[in-house]
Amino acid sequence: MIHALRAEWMRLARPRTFAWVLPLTVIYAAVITYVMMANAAPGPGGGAVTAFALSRDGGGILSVVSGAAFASVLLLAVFVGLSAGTMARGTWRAALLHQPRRLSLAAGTYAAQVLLIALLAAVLLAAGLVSAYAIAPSHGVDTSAWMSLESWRMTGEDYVRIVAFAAGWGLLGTLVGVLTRSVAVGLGLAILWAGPIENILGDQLSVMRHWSPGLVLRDMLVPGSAVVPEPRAALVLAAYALVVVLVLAVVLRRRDVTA
Amino acid sequence: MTGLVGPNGAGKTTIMAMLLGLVRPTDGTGRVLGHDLGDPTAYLHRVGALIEGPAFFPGLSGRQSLEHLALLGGHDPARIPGVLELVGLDEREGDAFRSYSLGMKQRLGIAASLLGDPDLVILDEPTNGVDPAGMRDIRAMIRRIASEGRSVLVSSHLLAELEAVCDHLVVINRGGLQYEGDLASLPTAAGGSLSLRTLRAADAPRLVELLRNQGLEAAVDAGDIPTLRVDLGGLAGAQLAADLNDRAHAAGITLSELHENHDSLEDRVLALVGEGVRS
Repeated sequence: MIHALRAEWMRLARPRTFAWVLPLTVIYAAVITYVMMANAAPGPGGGAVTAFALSRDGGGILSVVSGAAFASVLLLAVFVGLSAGTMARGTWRAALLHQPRRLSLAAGTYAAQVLLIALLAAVLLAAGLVSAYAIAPSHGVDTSAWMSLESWRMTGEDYVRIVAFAAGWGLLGTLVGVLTRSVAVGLGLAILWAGPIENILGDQLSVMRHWSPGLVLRDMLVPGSAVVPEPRAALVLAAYALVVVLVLAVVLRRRDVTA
Repeated sequence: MTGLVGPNGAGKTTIMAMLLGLVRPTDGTGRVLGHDLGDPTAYLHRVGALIEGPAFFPGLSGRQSLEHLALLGGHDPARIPGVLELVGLDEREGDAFRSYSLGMKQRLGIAASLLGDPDLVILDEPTNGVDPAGMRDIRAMIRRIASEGRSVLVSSHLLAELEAVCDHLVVINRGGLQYEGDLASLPTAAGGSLSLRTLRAADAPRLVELLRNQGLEAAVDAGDIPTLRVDLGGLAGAQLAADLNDRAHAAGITLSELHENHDSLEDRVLALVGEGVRS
């Protein structure tokens, strides 16, 4: 698994990748922070991005953490593209000729991808905090609590939530990519599900709101406004993760590699 | 060096994929380098392969592609310059894979197959889509790989290519083994033949008659001066040619052409499988 992780990291973490991913992450953090602050409602808000919440402990990254939830479809699309692309392009087959342990190869590859996401999440939070400091004065947001110990504790917690959120969407995207083995079909299915179906059904059906993986992942990321309580969300997501990993393990081990 | 041939759908790539642990056999047994086919992890570290075309990430350079695979397989990265030089890509190693020609991609695929210093190299259609000069280079490359003491299993739809490099042949059709053995021992299509041509067109019918008197039936090709083809049917071609030359001369027939036809590998394989041989 370590071989696969190092190989995938070597492939992903190239200067060329960072040359466009890092600026995009910084721009996304700055834009989302500005939009959230500019539109922050007055009042306590109960987990939402309000002027009151922004001026409390952890307020410096509140905008960017809430905004990270909007990246779900992007994350899903990226992981579908990565996994389906490697199947369709034949690079999965080529990799197996050098690393025949399929599960180790898949696990190491996924771990490297999540590692990159974790790095970008750190950049996102840092850029969000810097942006918040720059934007806050023009919107009358008090920043005095942002460097408290509690704020740093909350930042660490939010960082773990963002990485878990991304890893969850990544696992779903990997499953869709592996099952479809087609970037076009995989992306179509994934976007259809994560976009209209999940959100429309989530609004209409309470069972969807409580059980749909994407919506529960969003609840986990922003627990203050969650419909599903945090411990239950963690259990549901762990169960989903277990099922996805098992399905992936069976499919990857048993399926012939013909492309 | 063993060639694997058979018509479309015969199962060549499937066999190679099974040897490489990519496809699970539904029945039967097999051994690779002394290990059971069902446990490919036991032998794959000693096998290098190029199957179903070269597949690399388009944005990586040739060198980065090999570094990626070296990390993946735990191969010694010090081998990378050597294999790039062997396949003639050392001067283009920094270029992106997507910018390579088809021949260069095939060569990078062969380089990747050699990264782990394998005992067995499996190459599926290594000259696919390559121009004649590239084919010659790849042929020389395969010979060099084999000369380093490695076993090589190569499939190609260009049977002349296999004839030039292989000493052992496996012919399959519809999933079944048709022939397995030395290239030289592959049965001829029809026992060989002689071709004869007279200097003057008017002598052709007389030559047919002369052959008939010797108990030989000649197939006559159309043309101003027809070419006669006589199946040897197990007779020694050189001896019969000399004998017929004497008899024609004695009959006042001047031959402008007399030679023994050796069946090409394609003729012989076609005779075995009974249809067009393609990958």
